[in-house]
Amino acid sequence: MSESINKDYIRGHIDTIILRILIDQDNYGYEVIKAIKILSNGQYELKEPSLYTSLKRLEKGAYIESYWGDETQGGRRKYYKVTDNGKKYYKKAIAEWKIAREIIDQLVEGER
Amino acid sequence: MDKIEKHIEWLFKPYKKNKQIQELKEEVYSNLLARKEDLLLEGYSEEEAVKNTIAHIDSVDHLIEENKKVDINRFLASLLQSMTLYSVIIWILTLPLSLFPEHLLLSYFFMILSILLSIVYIVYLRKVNNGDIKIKYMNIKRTRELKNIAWKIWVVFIIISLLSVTGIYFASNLWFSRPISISGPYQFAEIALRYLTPFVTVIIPLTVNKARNLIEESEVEVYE
Repeated sequence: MSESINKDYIRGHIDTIILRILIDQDNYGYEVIKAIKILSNGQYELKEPSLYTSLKRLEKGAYIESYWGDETQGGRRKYYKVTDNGKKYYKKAIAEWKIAREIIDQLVEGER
Repeated sequence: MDKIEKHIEWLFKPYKKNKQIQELKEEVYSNLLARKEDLLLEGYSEEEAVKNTIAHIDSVDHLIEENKKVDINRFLASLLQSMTLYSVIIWILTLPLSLFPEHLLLSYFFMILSILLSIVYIVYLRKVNNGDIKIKYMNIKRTRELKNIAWKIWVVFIIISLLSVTGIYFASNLWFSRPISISGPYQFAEIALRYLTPFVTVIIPLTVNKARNLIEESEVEVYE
Protein backbone atom coordinates (compact mmCIF):
# COMPACT_ATOMS: atom_id res chain seq x y z
CA MET A 1 0.00 0.00 0.00
CA SER A 2 1.64 3.23 -1.08
CA GLU A 3 -0.42 5.57 1.08
CA SER A 4 -0.55 4.07 4.52
CA ILE A 5 -1.57 5.95 7.63
CA ASN A 6 0.99 8.20 9.26
CA LYS A 7 1.21 6.87 12.82
CA ASP A 8 1.81 10.31 14.24
CA TYR A 9 -1.77 11.24 13.40
CA ILE A 10 -3.10 8.34 15.39
CA ARG A 11 -0.82 8.59 18.37
CA GLY A 12 -2.74 11.31 20.17
CA HIS A 13 -6.01 9.41 19.78
CA ILE A 14 -5.07 5.96 21.01
CA ASP A 15 -6.85 6.49 24.33
CA THR A 16 -10.04 7.48 22.53
CA ILE A 17 -9.79 4.51 20.16
CA ILE A 18 -9.32 2.09 23.04
CA LEU A 19 -12.28 3.61 24.89
CA ARG A 20 -14.43 3.20 21.80
CA ILE A 21 -13.56 -0.48 21.61
CA LEU A 22 -14.18 -1.03 25.30
CA ILE A 23 -17.53 0.78 25.11
CA ASP A 24 -18.64 -1.87 22.58
CA GLN A 25 -17.72 -4.58 25.06
CA ASP A 26 -15.29 -5.42 27.86
CA ASN A 27 -12.08 -6.81 26.48
CA TYR A 28 -8.53 -7.91 27.17
CA GLY A 29 -5.33 -6.54 25.69
CA TYR A 30 -4.77 -8.70 22.65
CA GLU A 31 -8.43 -8.50 21.59
CA VAL A 32 -8.18 -4.70 21.73
CA ILE A 33 -5.21 -4.79 19.36
CA LYS A 34 -7.09 -7.15 17.09
CA ALA A 35 -10.26 -5.04 17.14
CA ILE A 36 -8.23 -1.97 16.15
CA LYS A 37 -6.64 -3.88 13.30
CA ILE A 38 -10.04 -5.03 12.03
CA LEU A 39 -11.64 -1.57 12.45
CA SER A 40 -8.87 -0.03 10.38
CA ASN A 41 -9.12 -2.74 7.71
CA GLY A 42 -5.66 -3.92 8.60
CA GLN A 43 -4.12 -0.50 8.00
CA TYR A 44 -3.18 0.19 11.57
CA GLU A 45 -1.76 -2.14 14.16
CA LEU A 46 -1.34 -0.90 17.69
CA LYS A 47 1.97 -1.97 19.16
CA GLU A 48 1.89 -3.89 22.40
CA PRO A 49 4.04 -1.45 24.41
CA SER A 50 1.75 1.43 23.36
CA LEU A 51 -1.30 -0.62 24.34
CA TYR A 52 -0.06 -1.15 27.89
CA THR A 53 1.01 2.48 28.27
CA SER A 54 -2.41 3.64 27.16
CA LEU A 55 -4.33 1.15 29.32
CA LYS A 56 -2.28 2.13 32.32
CA ARG A 57 -2.92 5.81 31.73
CA LEU A 58 -6.66 5.24 31.28
CA GLU A 59 -6.86 3.14 34.42
CA LYS A 60 -4.97 5.75 36.41
CA GLY A 61 -7.45 8.38 35.25
CA ALA A 62 -10.32 6.08 36.34
CA TYR A 63 -11.68 5.99 32.78
CA ILE A 64 -11.46 2.20 32.76
CA GLU A 65 -11.42 -0.56 35.35
CA SER A 66 -9.90 -4.00 35.15
CA TYR A 67 -10.87 -7.42 36.36
CA TRP A 68 -9.44 -10.88 35.89
CA GLY A 69 -11.05 -13.44 33.66
CA ASP A 70 -11.58 -16.98 34.87
CA GLU A 71 -9.46 -18.79 32.27
CA THR A 72 -7.95 -21.89 33.70
CA GLN A 73 -5.61 -22.58 30.83
CA GLY A 74 -2.90 -20.38 29.36
CA GLY A 75 -2.78 -17.65 31.95
CA ARG A 76 -5.49 -15.41 33.33
CA ARG A 77 -6.64 -12.59 31.09
CA LYS A 78 -7.04 -9.09 32.40
CA TYR A 79 -10.24 -7.55 31.10
CA TYR A 80 -10.98 -3.86 30.93
CA LYS A 81 -14.31 -2.14 31.34
CA VAL A 82 -15.24 1.48 30.70
CA THR A 83 -16.42 3.55 33.66
CA ASP A 84 -19.00 6.36 33.49
CA ASN A 85 -16.09 8.71 33.71
CA GLY A 86 -14.59 7.01 30.69
CA LYS A 87 -17.78 7.41 28.68
CA LYS A 88 -17.84 11.13 29.44
CA TYR A 89 -14.19 11.41 28.50
CA TYR A 90 -14.89 9.61 25.25
CA LYS A 91 -17.75 11.97 24.29
CA LYS A 92 -15.59 14.97 25.08
CA ALA A 93 -12.70 13.60 23.04
CA ILE A 94 -14.98 13.01 20.04
CA ALA A 95 -16.40 16.55 20.24
CA GLU A 96 -12.88 17.96 20.45
CA TRP A 97 -11.72 15.85 17.54
CA LYS A 98 -14.58 17.03 15.33
CA ILE A 99 -13.73 20.65 16.00
CA ALA A 100 -10.05 20.03 15.39
CA ARG A 101 -10.74 18.14 12.17
CA GLU A 102 -12.87 20.97 10.81
CA ILE A 103 -10.34 23.64 11.65
CA ILE A 104 -7.42 21.63 10.27
CA ASP A 105 -9.31 20.91 7.04
CA GLN A 106 -10.04 24.62 6.73
CA LEU A 107 -6.41 25.47 7.46
CA VAL A 108 -4.75 23.05 5.08
CA GLU A 109 -7.06 23.22 2.09
CA GLY A 110 -10.02 25.52 2.84
CA GLU A 111 -11.19 28.46 0.77
CA ARG A 112 -9.17 31.59 1.28
CA MET B 1 8.90 -23.57 30.59
CA ASP B 2 8.06 -22.68 27.00
CA LYS B 3 9.80 -20.04 24.94
CA ILE B 4 7.20 -17.36 25.58
CA GLU B 5 7.41 -17.89 29.32
CA LYS B 6 11.17 -17.67 29.12
CA HIS B 7 10.90 -14.40 27.23
CA ILE B 8 8.55 -13.02 29.90
CA GLU B 9 10.93 -14.09 32.66
CA TRP B 10 13.74 -12.31 30.84
CA LEU B 11 11.69 -9.12 30.44
CA PHE B 12 10.85 -8.97 34.13
CA LYS B 13 14.18 -10.17 35.44
CA PRO B 14 15.38 -6.83 36.87
CA TYR B 15 12.22 -6.27 38.88
CA LYS B 16 11.19 -7.36 42.32
CA LYS B 17 8.34 -9.77 42.59
CA ASN B 18 5.57 -7.69 44.08
CA LYS B 19 1.85 -7.92 43.35
CA GLN B 20 1.84 -5.18 40.73
CA ILE B 21 4.69 -6.76 38.78
CA GLN B 22 3.20 -10.24 39.10
CA GLU B 23 -0.11 -9.05 37.65
CA LEU B 24 1.56 -7.20 34.82
CA LYS B 25 3.52 -10.33 34.04
CA GLU B 26 0.36 -12.43 33.90
CA GLU B 27 -1.36 -9.88 31.70
CA VAL B 28 1.51 -9.66 29.22
CA TYR B 29 1.82 -13.43 29.17
CA SER B 30 -1.85 -14.14 28.49
CA ASN B 31 -1.90 -11.53 25.72
CA LEU B 32 1.16 -13.02 24.05
CA LEU B 33 -0.37 -16.45 24.30
CA ALA B 34 -3.59 -15.20 22.69
CA ARG B 35 -1.55 -13.74 19.85
CA LYS B 36 0.29 -17.00 19.36
CA GLU B 37 -2.97 -18.96 19.22
CA ASP B 38 -4.26 -16.50 16.66
CA LEU B 39 -1.16 -16.90 14.51
CA LEU B 40 -1.50 -20.68 14.67
CA LEU B 41 -5.06 -20.35 13.36
CA GLU B 42 -3.73 -18.20 10.54
CA GLY B 43 -1.56 -21.12 9.50
CA TYR B 44 1.78 -20.25 11.07
CA SER B 45 3.92 -23.11 12.29
CA GLU B 46 4.38 -23.34 16.05
CA GLU B 47 7.96 -22.10 15.81
CA GLU B 48 7.11 -19.19 13.50
CA ALA B 49 4.19 -18.17 15.68
CA VAL B 50 6.30 -18.10 18.84
CA LYS B 51 9.05 -16.12 17.12
CA ASN B 52 6.60 -13.59 15.76
CA THR B 53 4.84 -13.28 19.12
CA ILE B 54 7.98 -12.67 21.10
CA ALA B 55 9.04 -9.96 18.66
CA HIS B 56 6.04 -7.88 19.70
CA ILE B 57 7.37 -6.89 23.07
CA ASP B 58 11.03 -6.38 23.80
CA SER B 59 10.88 -4.34 26.99
CA VAL B 60 8.57 -3.62 29.91
CA ASP B 61 10.73 -0.88 31.41
CA HIS B 62 8.22 1.83 30.57
CA LEU B 63 5.43 -0.03 32.37
CA ILE B 64 7.11 -0.22 35.74
CA GLU B 65 5.73 2.42 38.07
CA GLU B 66 9.03 3.08 39.85
CA ASN B 67 10.96 3.65 36.66
CA LYS B 68 11.75 7.17 35.63
CA LYS B 69 12.69 7.94 32.08
CA VAL B 70 15.83 10.01 32.26
CA ASP B 71 17.99 11.68 29.64
CA ILE B 72 21.31 10.25 30.75
CA ASN B 73 23.48 12.96 29.20
CA ARG B 74 21.55 15.78 30.83
CA PHE B 75 21.50 13.86 34.10
CA LEU B 76 25.27 13.31 34.08
CA ALA B 77 25.95 16.93 33.11
CA SER B 78 23.93 18.20 36.09
CA LEU B 79 25.48 15.65 38.40
CA LEU B 80 29.02 16.53 37.28
CA GLN B 81 28.26 20.20 37.75
CA SER B 82 27.31 19.58 41.37
CA MET B 83 30.26 17.25 41.94
CA THR B 84 32.63 19.92 40.62
CA LEU B 85 31.07 22.44 42.96
CA TYR B 86 31.41 20.12 45.98
CA SER B 87 34.99 19.33 45.07
CA VAL B 88 35.94 23.01 44.65
CA ILE B 89 34.36 23.90 48.00
CA ILE B 90 36.25 21.11 49.74
CA TRP B 91 39.44 22.15 47.98
CA ILE B 92 39.04 25.75 49.21
CA LEU B 93 38.40 24.49 52.73
CA THR B 94 41.58 22.42 52.57
CA LEU B 95 43.73 25.38 51.39
CA PRO B 96 44.97 26.25 54.90
CA LEU B 97 46.50 22.79 54.90
CA SER B 98 49.46 24.18 52.96
CA LEU B 99 50.83 24.97 56.43
CA PHE B 100 50.91 21.27 57.20
CA PRO B 101 53.08 19.34 54.74
CA GLU B 102 51.60 16.08 55.96
CA HIS B 103 48.13 17.06 54.76
CA LEU B 104 49.15 18.88 51.62
CA LEU B 105 48.38 15.84 49.48
CA LEU B 106 44.71 16.06 50.39
CA SER B 107 44.52 19.63 49.15
CA TYR B 108 46.25 18.67 45.89
CA PHE B 109 43.91 15.73 45.51
CA PHE B 110 40.83 17.93 45.58
CA MET B 111 42.42 20.46 43.27
CA ILE B 112 43.08 17.76 40.67
CA LEU B 113 39.67 16.21 41.24
CA SER B 114 38.02 19.58 40.66
CA ILE B 115 39.89 20.06 37.40
CA LEU B 116 39.07 16.56 36.14
CA LEU B 117 35.41 16.86 37.09
CA SER B 118 35.06 20.19 35.37
CA ILE B 119 36.61 18.76 32.18
CA VAL B 120 34.19 15.82 32.14
CA TYR B 121 31.37 18.24 32.97
CA ILE B 122 32.20 20.33 29.91
CA VAL B 123 32.24 17.21 27.73
CA TYR B 124 28.71 16.31 28.85
CA LEU B 125 27.49 19.88 28.68
CA ARG B 126 28.53 19.96 25.02
CA LYS B 127 26.68 16.72 24.38
CA VAL B 128 23.54 18.22 25.89
CA ASN B 129 23.91 21.42 23.89
CA ASN B 130 24.35 19.39 20.71
CA GLY B 131 20.97 17.81 21.41
CA ASP B 132 22.52 14.39 22.01
CA ILE B 133 19.72 12.63 23.93
CA LYS B 134 20.20 9.22 25.46
CA ILE B 135 17.19 7.86 27.32
CA LYS B 136 17.54 5.36 30.11
CA TYR B 137 15.19 4.03 32.75
CA MET B 138 16.18 4.49 36.36
CA ASN B 139 14.49 2.85 39.26
CA ILE B 140 13.74 5.51 41.90
CA LYS B 141 13.02 3.02 44.62
CA ARG B 142 16.47 1.51 44.20
CA THR B 143 18.24 4.87 44.12
CA ARG B 144 16.43 5.85 47.32
CA GLU B 145 17.80 2.74 49.00
CA LEU B 146 21.25 3.52 47.62
CA LYS B 147 21.06 7.03 49.06
CA ASN B 148 20.16 5.75 52.52
CA ILE B 149 22.93 3.17 52.44
CA ALA B 150 25.50 5.77 51.32
CA TRP B 151 24.66 8.06 54.23
CA LYS B 152 24.68 5.22 56.74
CA ILE B 153 28.06 3.95 55.61
CA TRP B 154 29.44 7.45 55.73
CA VAL B 155 28.23 8.04 59.29
CA VAL B 156 29.77 4.74 60.41
CA PHE B 157 33.03 5.68 58.66
CA ILE B 158 33.10 9.08 60.42
CA ILE B 159 32.44 7.54 63.83
CA ILE B 160 35.21 4.99 63.33
CA SER B 161 37.69 7.61 62.11
CA LEU B 162 36.94 9.93 65.02
CA LEU B 163 37.28 7.10 67.50
CA SER B 164 40.56 5.92 66.02
CA VAL B 165 42.02 9.44 66.00
CA THR B 166 41.02 9.77 69.64
CA GLY B 167 42.63 6.40 70.24
CA ILE B 168 45.90 7.39 68.62
CA TYR B 169 46.23 10.68 70.48
CA PHE B 170 44.59 10.19 73.81
CA ALA B 171 44.11 6.52 74.61
CA SER B 172 47.28 6.19 76.62
CA ASN B 173 46.45 9.38 78.51
CA LEU B 174 43.06 7.97 79.42
CA TRP B 175 44.44 4.53 80.20
CA PHE B 176 47.12 5.80 82.54
CA SER B 177 44.98 8.77 83.56
CA ARG B 178 47.71 11.17 82.64
CA PRO B 179 46.75 14.76 81.84
CA ILE B 180 46.42 15.51 78.15
CA SER B 181 49.26 17.74 77.04
CA ILE B 182 49.17 19.80 73.90
CA SER B 183 52.42 21.64 73.47
CA GLY B 184 51.23 24.60 71.41
CA PRO B 185 48.82 26.00 68.85
CA TYR B 186 50.52 24.18 65.96
CA GLN B 187 50.16 20.82 67.60
CA PHE B 188 46.60 21.66 68.57
CA ALA B 189 45.82 22.51 64.97
CA GLU B 190 47.36 19.26 63.81
CA ILE B 191 45.17 17.25 66.14
CA ALA B 192 42.13 19.25 65.08
CA LEU B 193 42.96 18.51 61.45
CA ARG B 194 43.14 14.80 62.15
CA TYR B 195 39.59 15.09 63.38
CA LEU B 196 38.42 17.19 60.45
CA THR B 197 40.02 15.52 57.44
CA PRO B 198 37.76 12.42 57.42
CA PHE B 199 34.85 14.78 56.72
CA VAL B 200 36.06 15.48 53.17
CA THR B 201 34.62 12.10 52.21
CA VAL B 202 31.20 13.71 52.54
CA ILE B 203 31.51 14.27 48.79
CA ILE B 204 30.49 10.63 48.24
CA PRO B 205 27.09 10.62 50.00
CA LEU B 206 26.46 14.14 48.72
CA THR B 207 26.93 12.93 45.16
CA VAL B 208 24.59 9.98 45.64
CA ASN B 209 22.07 12.30 47.25
CA LYS B 210 22.25 14.73 44.35
CA ALA B 211 21.94 11.90 41.83
CA ARG B 212 18.72 10.77 43.40
CA ASN B 213 17.18 14.22 43.40
CA LEU B 214 18.23 14.74 39.80
CA ILE B 215 16.46 11.59 38.66
CA GLU B 216 13.20 13.02 39.94
CA GLU B 217 13.87 16.36 38.28
CA SER B 218 15.15 15.22 34.90
CA GLU B 219 12.36 12.84 34.06
CA VAL B 220 11.37 13.05 30.42
CA GLU B 221 7.70 13.12 29.53
CA VAL B 222 6.71 10.63 26.89
CA TYR B 223 3.58 9.86 24.99
CA GLU B 224 3.63 6.43 23.42
